Amino acid sequence: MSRGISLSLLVIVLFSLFGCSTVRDGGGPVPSFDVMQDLKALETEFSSAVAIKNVYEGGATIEKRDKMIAGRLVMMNLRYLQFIKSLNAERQFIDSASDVAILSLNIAGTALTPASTRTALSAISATLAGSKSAIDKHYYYEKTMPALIAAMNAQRKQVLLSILQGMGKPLEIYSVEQAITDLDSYYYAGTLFGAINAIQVTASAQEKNATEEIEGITRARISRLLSSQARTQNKKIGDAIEGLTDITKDLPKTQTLLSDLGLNGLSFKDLQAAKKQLRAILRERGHDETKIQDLFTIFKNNHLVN
Amino acid sequence: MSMYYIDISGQFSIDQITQALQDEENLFSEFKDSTVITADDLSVLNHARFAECDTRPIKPIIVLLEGSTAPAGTSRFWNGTMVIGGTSRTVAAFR
Repeated sequence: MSRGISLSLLVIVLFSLFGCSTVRDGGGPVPSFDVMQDLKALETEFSSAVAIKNVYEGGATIEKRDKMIAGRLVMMNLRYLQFIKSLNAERQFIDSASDVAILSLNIAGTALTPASTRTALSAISATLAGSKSAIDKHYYYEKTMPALIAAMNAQRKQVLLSILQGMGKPLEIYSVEQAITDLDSYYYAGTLFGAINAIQVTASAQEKNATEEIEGITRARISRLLSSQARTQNKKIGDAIEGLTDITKDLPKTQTLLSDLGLNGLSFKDLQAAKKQLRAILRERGHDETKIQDLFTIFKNNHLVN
Repeated sequence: MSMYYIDISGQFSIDQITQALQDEENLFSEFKDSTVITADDLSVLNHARFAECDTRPIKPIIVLLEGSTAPAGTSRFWNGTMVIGGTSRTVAAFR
């Protein structure tokens, strides 16, 4: 890596640390350098690693894919930091985004060669980490902006998680195409549209949960007195469920039982989860004499009651 | 711990209410408390709240009128109003 490019990298970091804080404080000097040009220089440095055609040239490999991911993550993270600072973000959000940027710089430091690039990236990483304390927290911002930036940060971390989990894995498991799709999702997560979409999705899910909870409270089941036979059957079924304690012996039995009850028994890999499902079934069917009889028969066919 | 509700008829006797609560607790649940509600058809119900549990209660629940002597080996864990045989009464639950 040339000295010029190293200097450019440093300038970007310095801007991200000090330039923005003064701008945000309203009235600091205009940076005496062109940030966009510096980012361009950085893109040139990473261009061969991040170019998709280079990943496929001569056959895709794990190393080439991971270099592409690492390079793109660094570029996206630096640009994202620049973007949220332009939104007058609060310090805590910048800190959170900085942490992710530092992480990606460290990953790039591992994935990219030559050594000079690694050294330069590590230097940026160290500077960025130290810079957070230098950011002044007194700036103006729109009241909605913190929520949107928080949503962007959260979404970006979620997507980043699947990218990091994919890196290092064989191409058959984490393909180059999947990596590119995830990187696109990572970019989208760091946009205001992505943040609004995430908030809408979260709000919808919360509303659905609350609605179900309200329905559960308001729509109570009417209790009917059971016959002594149904009561005894319920008790025997309960005893059988409590008796399932040996994971080696009882898990396969429970899986078969759940399949007989119309569920995908094999999807229950854990005996406790399987028992939880059986308890829920008993709670659901244990008020109706006919359903209790049917449930008892299934338990009996599986040699769990007599 | 998930909660759910069971509505018990306000026409039940106190023994029938105890039986209904015991039947419910046999389904891996634990009675928590109860309030009186009026259904859409204007019938009065005991709106009993239960918690879903991993095990069934070791001792069965017993509901008695407030002021009754606690059955041997039990202690009172809840008291409140229930409608019994169509009449509002103060009761206590023992276990």
